[in-house]
Amino acid sequence: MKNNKIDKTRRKILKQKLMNEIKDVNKEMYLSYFFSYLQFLTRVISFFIIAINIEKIINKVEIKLIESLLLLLIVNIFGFLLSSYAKKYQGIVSNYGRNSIKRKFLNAFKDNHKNFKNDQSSVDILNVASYGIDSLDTFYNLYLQLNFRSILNCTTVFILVFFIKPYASLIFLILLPLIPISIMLMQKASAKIMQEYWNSYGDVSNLFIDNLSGLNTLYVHNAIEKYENDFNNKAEKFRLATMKLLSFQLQSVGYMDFVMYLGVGLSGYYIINSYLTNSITIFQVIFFILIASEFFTPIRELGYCMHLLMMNIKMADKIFTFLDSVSTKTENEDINLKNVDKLTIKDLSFSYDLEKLITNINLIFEKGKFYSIAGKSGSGKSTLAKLILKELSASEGQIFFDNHNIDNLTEKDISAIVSYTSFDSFIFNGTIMDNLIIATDKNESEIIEFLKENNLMNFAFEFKNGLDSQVGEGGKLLSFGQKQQLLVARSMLSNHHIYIYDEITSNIDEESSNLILNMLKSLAKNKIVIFITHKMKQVLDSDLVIYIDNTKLFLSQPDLLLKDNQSFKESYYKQKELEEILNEKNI
Amino acid sequence: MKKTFNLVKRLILFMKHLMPYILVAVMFAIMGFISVISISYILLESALNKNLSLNILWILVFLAIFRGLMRYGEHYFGHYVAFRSLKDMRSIVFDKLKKLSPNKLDNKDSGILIKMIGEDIEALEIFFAHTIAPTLTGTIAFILLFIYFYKVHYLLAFLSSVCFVLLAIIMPIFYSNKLLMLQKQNEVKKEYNSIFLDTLKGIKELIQFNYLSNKINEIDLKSKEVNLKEKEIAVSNYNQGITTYLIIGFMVSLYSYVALNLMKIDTHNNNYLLSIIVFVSSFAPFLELSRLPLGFKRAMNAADDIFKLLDEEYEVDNFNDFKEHILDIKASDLSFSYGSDEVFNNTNFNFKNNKIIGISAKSGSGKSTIMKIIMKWYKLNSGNIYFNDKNYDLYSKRSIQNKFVYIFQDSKIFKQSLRENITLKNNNITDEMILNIAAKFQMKERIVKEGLDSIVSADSFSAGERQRIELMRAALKEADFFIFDEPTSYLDSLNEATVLNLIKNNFKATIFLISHRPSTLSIADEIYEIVDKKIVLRR
Repeated sequence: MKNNKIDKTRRKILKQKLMNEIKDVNKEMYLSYFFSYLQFLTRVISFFIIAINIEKIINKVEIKLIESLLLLLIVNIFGFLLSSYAKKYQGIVSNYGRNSIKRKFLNAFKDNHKNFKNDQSSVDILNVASYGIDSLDTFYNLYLQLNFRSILNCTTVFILVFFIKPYASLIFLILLPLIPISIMLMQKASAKIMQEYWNSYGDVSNLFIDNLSGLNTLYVHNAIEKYENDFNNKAEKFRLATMKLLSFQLQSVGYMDFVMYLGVGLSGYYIINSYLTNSITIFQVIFFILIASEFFTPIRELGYCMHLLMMNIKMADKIFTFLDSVSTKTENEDINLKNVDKLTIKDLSFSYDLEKLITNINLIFEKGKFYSIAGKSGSGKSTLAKLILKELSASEGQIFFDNHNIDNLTEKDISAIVSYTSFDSFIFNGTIMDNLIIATDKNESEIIEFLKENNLMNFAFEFKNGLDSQVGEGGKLLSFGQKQQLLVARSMLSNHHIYIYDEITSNIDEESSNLILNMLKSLAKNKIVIFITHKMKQVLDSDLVIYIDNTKLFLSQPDLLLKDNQSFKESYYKQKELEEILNEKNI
Repeated sequence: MKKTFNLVKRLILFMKHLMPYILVAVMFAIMGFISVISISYILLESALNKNLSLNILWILVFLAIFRGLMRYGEHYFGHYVAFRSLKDMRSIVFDKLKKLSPNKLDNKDSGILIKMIGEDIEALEIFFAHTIAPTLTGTIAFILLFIYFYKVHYLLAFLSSVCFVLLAIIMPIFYSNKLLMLQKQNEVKKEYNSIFLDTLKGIKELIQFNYLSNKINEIDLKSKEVNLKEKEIAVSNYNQGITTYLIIGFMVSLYSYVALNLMKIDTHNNNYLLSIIVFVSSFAPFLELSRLPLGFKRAMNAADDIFKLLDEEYEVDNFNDFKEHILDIKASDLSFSYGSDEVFNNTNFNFKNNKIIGISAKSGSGKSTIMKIIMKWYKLNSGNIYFNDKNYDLYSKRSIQNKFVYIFQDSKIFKQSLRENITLKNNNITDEMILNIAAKFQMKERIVKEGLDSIVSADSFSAGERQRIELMRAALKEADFFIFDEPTSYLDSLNEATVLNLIKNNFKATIFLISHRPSTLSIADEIYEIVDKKIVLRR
């Protein structure tokens, strides 16, 4: 865990940014604070009434007890009713703030999806998006309210005490800064231990689950005892380290209580002293004793939530660092191509980190033909696809959709022309139908008709719930072959002009793979279809093969390629030989 | 009721070594509570007695320090109990699952079971650390206060008791539907998060299919639902808050009225007045009780689950070790049922070593089960198994397992260093051995790139790489038999061929190959099939 220190100015900026998100609901926020303040005032008034009555009794003045009781009840019920009115403002601010940040995240993703890969930093960002933003509830709900309460309530109590006896309030003022100072000191002391602590022990609860879920693997390898001992040691070390850390951090809890009651005690002593020297009345004494702790209570609570706030600020730092790092972009106007019959690649070169991946290629793809791009992994097959999708731009040369240069097309234009499907294209949690319907304007029965007509996804109709079967998170309830069939069917339902399939047949069995290849061939009858694979034998059925070898590119019919191209031939036979094992002994 | 009582009793016995710490925490809480009341009490008393010596100042300072210390102690020991109970319960459960392995966790739902265990332990931690102590504190505070108020006047004792019961018991019952609301909110929140994350992860697809705006509408709708639920809870919390204040305001008024009324008769007794101050400063422990974090029911369910697990019986494995190499496995009249499903009925077979033995069948027909029976994971219903003509019932489970390596279909990657993932903490395996094996399984480059010391998780590797790591683990172990359970089920023909080559070239002992694919079974010397609950030789 990195401990990027966030300095004071940055902290201020972050708080400001968090506050900016709720500008529009400021009114509601202040109203709800105002009502909670009124509630506090009813309490003060009640204390006031009680103190007056006590004074009268002590001074043996006749009092009307029933009347004061009624008065007290009225005050309290009034406070209750006022507060009930405020309940509609509860929770609004926090929801608003978090939703607003979430929306910004979505937009940032929309504009920058090309930059996100399946790597750790993206996973982190997704975690921030889902759990981090919600954790800001502490800031919006708890911290802001406590902050506000501290200011208003304390000032009120301070003024009241000041009127009783100015010096008593002075004691409050002198002690007040001790609370934040103590919190700061504790945080400094524990930050160091904290660092050590997280680095060495991590999260025992996850370790526990992790070990248990691999228990049978450990059983097979006779390693359970070792893992158990190791877990127990780690858990114990973690516990001891936690207690060490807490023995520091909890000091602030005790310290804050000490400051609070020292304040009450000292100023109380001073007040009583004044009473005994007759400079204030018994009413003032009693009123003071009743309200004195109200001064410190909200500050103490604020102190308790300080470490939560620090965690929130760290999270806010991650959130806004991300949001600021991505740019919203402006693009040309959409051209809205109605149809594309031809894709032309002219004198195209592409290099990455000074290394040439593709040099000076010329290709024409036409409607009605089935193209394959073959090559070993890392040969630049996907790079070519990314260039066509404008996810990368060429170092030299041009790409044309009919006669439109790719440079003049917007992202929206291209996404309307080209469909790109790879083995790790995303499957949404929901039903099979939920996944299909996003691709098309067809309704459910038309989709079913389309699938049956084209002999697609027969497996789904055998499910108990048919197309309404759940696919699970990322499609995990489907087999690899089924997932890939779903991806292909989804893309075929969509109305694009160029279809690129990137390694869509890897990691599935021969049978499913043949099914998919047949699907692609039928699609190629009136579209441009480009099929990318590292398996040489799968390209033999296509109309034209583009074979990439060592930055060079060969375009040919498959049978000619197998005859003339030495490198392709070698790869083809090597793969064939490897697969021999599958026919070793015929059954 | 009796069941609950027994559960609580057993829970307390279960963690009885923690009880002293809980009591210490409670003692600190009570002392802290008394010191707070004392401060106001002493102040008012000196005012009423018109007697303020410097000593009182020192007492006040002492009380403030004392209060700070008590507060610290209360929290320290509270946390001590929390972390200690977590650690102890995890150790106990780990040990139990070890004794119950491998069959306890050998099913599809084991993931759910483990997750449940984790949650149950955390629920019990809350019970020990955050339920028992405040309840005890509240009860003791109640008794002490009752005695005090009773000494002042029985009416005041009655009034204060009513107030405390209202706050600590009646109110939480009145607002108990909140637990249900929280549960519902959690569900909706999970759904919302899932849609939100799915949208982010699938944003490319949504743009490609021009569906993003629809999805955003969906998110907004769900978010409104979440907001509604969150608001319901916020409102309920708020209502509870203001009702609390109303009760306190009402009771303080009533109490003062009664006390002052009593004082009218007995003017020289300051105790009535002082008791008002005591009453006003005494709500804290009862308010804490009204905010207990968890329903009692949840803790009892958790206790029930955990005790059920701990009560499960296991076989003591105190047989002799099977020391010789297994050359021959025979079964006679073997029958086995899994629950009420009969898997094998009076079947016989004889597996000899140094061959590749294929086992073919549809899924669910017991292909893996037969292997697990041979490894003694499961107990036979009837019949016998013989290793080298010796009845395997007479030998220890552990020593038999040492003769077999079972290679799982889904290999488990632990969140630990890559080295440990390969050696499984067997220190006899050197880095050199790892790299040699890695080279054989075409993983050397990958492993060197990742680094043996780097902490990895399942996401660090592709499915194919995970499988190779599992194969390397197996290859590093010496055994008489290697059992491959569907090693090629998610592979295309090219990868299928690669994996089969790896298996054939690197495992020189007897190999069991379980598969439904004819192409995979083609490398087997013999193929057995499971037909009508019997094992038959097909080739």
